[in-house]
Amino acid sequence: MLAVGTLPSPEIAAEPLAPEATVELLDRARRGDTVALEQLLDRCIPPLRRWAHGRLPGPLRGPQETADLVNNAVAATLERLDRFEVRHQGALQAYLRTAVLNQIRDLARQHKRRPQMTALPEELANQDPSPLELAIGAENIERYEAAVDRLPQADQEAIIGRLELQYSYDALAVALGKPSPDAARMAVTRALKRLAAEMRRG
Amino acid sequence: MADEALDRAADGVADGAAVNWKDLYGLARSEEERAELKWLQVLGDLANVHRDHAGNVEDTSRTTLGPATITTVRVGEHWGRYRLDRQLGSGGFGSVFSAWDPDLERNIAIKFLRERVADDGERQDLKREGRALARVQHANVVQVFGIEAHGSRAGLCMELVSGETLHAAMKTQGLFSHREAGLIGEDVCRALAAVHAAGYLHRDVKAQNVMRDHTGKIVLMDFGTGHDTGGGTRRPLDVVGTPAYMAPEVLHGHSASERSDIYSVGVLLYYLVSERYPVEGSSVLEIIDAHDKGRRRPLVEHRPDLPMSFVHVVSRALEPDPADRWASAGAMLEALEKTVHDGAPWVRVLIRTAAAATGAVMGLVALGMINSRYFNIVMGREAFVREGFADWLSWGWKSAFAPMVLALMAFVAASLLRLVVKAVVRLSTRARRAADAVPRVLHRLGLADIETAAAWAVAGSIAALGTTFWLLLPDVALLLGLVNPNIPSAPVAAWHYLSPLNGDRHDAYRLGFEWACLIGVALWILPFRLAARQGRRPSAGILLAGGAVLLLGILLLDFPYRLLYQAELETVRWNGGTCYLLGERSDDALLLCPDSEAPRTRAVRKGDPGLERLGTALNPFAHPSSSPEERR
Repeated sequence: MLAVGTLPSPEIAAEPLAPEATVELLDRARRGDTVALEQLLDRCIPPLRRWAHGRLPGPLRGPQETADLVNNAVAATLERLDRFEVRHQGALQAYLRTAVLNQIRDLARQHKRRPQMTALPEELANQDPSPLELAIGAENIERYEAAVDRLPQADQEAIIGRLELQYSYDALAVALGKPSPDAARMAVTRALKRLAAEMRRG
Repeated sequence: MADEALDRAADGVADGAAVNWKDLYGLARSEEERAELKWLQVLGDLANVHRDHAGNVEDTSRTTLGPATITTVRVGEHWGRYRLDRQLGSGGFGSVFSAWDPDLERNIAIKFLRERVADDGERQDLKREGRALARVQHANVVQVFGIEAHGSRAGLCMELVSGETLHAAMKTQGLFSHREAGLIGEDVCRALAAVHAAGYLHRDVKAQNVMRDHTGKIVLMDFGTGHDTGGGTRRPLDVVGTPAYMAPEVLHGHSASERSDIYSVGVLLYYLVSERYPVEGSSVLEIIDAHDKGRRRPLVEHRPDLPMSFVHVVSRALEPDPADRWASAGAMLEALEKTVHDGAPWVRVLIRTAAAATGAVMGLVALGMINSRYFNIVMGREAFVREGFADWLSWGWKSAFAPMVLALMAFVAASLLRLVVKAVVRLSTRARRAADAVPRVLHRLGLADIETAAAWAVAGSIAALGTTFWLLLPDVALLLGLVNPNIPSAPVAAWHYLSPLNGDRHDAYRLGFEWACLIGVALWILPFRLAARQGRRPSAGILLAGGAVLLLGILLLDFPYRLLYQAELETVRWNGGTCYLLGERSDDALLLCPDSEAPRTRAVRKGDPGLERLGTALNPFAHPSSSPEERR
């Protein structure tokens, strides 16, 4: 059964880091400071896990599987951390989200390539689309992803932070380095209108 | 105001607030703006999914890259007093285990709900629901023992049914026959009737939730979503159920109802006989879109071999408008019983065809008898004519032909008009709004109620017939007056109205009453459609009144038919004058001699030497002496 949205939306557990703190922690992590790295990931990983849950197909949607997938993606991304120029946590979050998304796509491709070894019961062999696919369809997801990629970086971060990672405006203001929640809200609505126009163009 | 619709939509999506998309689409000033609104709606749904799933993951936020610790239930462990023996299945709702209850020494099934329902308030709701469902005692409803909570997990304890779901059965045995599906549908309807009678809704009737146990008994399962949270509208995705089985109004965020459960039974039956769904789509949005655009596949497209009675039962359960569906699970059960237990389809078709043909023949015979009897009475020839069934059928057919042609033409014209209206409604937003408003207007006028609609139909029929009667009063009075005593005794001048020279007046008379009858019949379409939708009939009194008005119209239309259109009689020469042969009886013949003194009938011996049969048939009312000019 589909049981969506019957509870109030949960608030983000950990507040994002201020831009200065993010830059500082990232610098320390790049220099090999594991405490700084853990602090950074403590802020970034939970929202990513919640986000990934809605994007994963059924068999991979268990809490453990989601955690593993996010951890793997983040670990792989950390190797390229020195190439990433961070301005605030929102940018890092968007970057990590892309890494997780790529990981999900890789898994989907592997699943398609893998030969069917045994005759699974129909219900288990069912592709079981992700909740997001179920809700808006695979084609719309593709269109959305493509349109997001074409947006300016700031718009991408606003969209990902608010729509996908479900930051409150207070948290989003911090994550995006905006002066106030109202400014963050304005950034989101503007980005949304630009995104809708991009999606219309296809 | 520039971009007002887009601004409001973007604000709503950004804030995660409810958006009235219908209003915003109405505000859009261009196709581009409408397209962008559509994409903002998709983005809103995307945000809803993420917002919801943010709550579905056990929080392992304080971990680093190591494995997470998750509280869960496992086979072999104990949950409360129960020992979990085997996992029977899992899904979006949680998971189901077979368990051993050591106190009562029996196996039960426990459905563990998600961790998210561990909230105290919701747990209380579930307990209340569990207690209520435990009161639904029915052979076709899984027995719910109650809801318990141990640790962080809430679970629904219920009867363990050994068998397979209909979904699994479909995979192993293939398509169900309409009889099998009908019998299953009957049991599901019985189960639903019991649930509804207890004041609850199931809200997730589907092949996966209906079990067939080893004895063949059908058991409706899974009441985890069975309570109705009540009124108000919700977001499109704020729903409980399985999209393909969900009624369109529920997908649009309206509350579930008994009729939305009935819709799901319709989908279940559709699926069992075709392995398809009436409305399909790869996502909830696509399904909603398909509903909105009326993209549904009739069952006969997949299974043209099914009896129409079965197709009708399923189709009615699947009506987009809840008011058009079966009024209750009991009503659907009754209809299913008829389709499953009746004789073979061809026998039913034969019986129906024979009944319709008999009805039509008897109707024609009655009409023929009416106009023939009237003709014989007014011509004073009753004793000289012997007519039987075949004659009446022939006269009935002749008299009914023109009204039937007119009715057919009116039907074709109405069908074409309906098509045009549908096309306009599809193309024009304004027309669509007007069409949408029609049910509301009907409701406001009380015409959604069968009794009121039927009363209006009676009143309308009386008005149509009364107006026609008033307009044609001189003709009606003249025709009725001819009976007393009869035409041969009446002054010849009175015959002139019946002359074919007055064909225009005769046509006007017939046409007037034909339209009155047609209007009378058309006015009954609405009450009968309502009756079919609601599964009940207008009261007998109103039906009787309507029938009486219609019968009066038909009588007025038909009684003078023969007199006006088929009055030709064989001409004879008798004693040098021209007469008409009204009838014959053994050795006698009855003549109508317009040039004689009243009464102008003469009974003569057939062998009378003064009688010469001319062999030609002429209308006596066109006789020269009945013409005003001739009389002058």
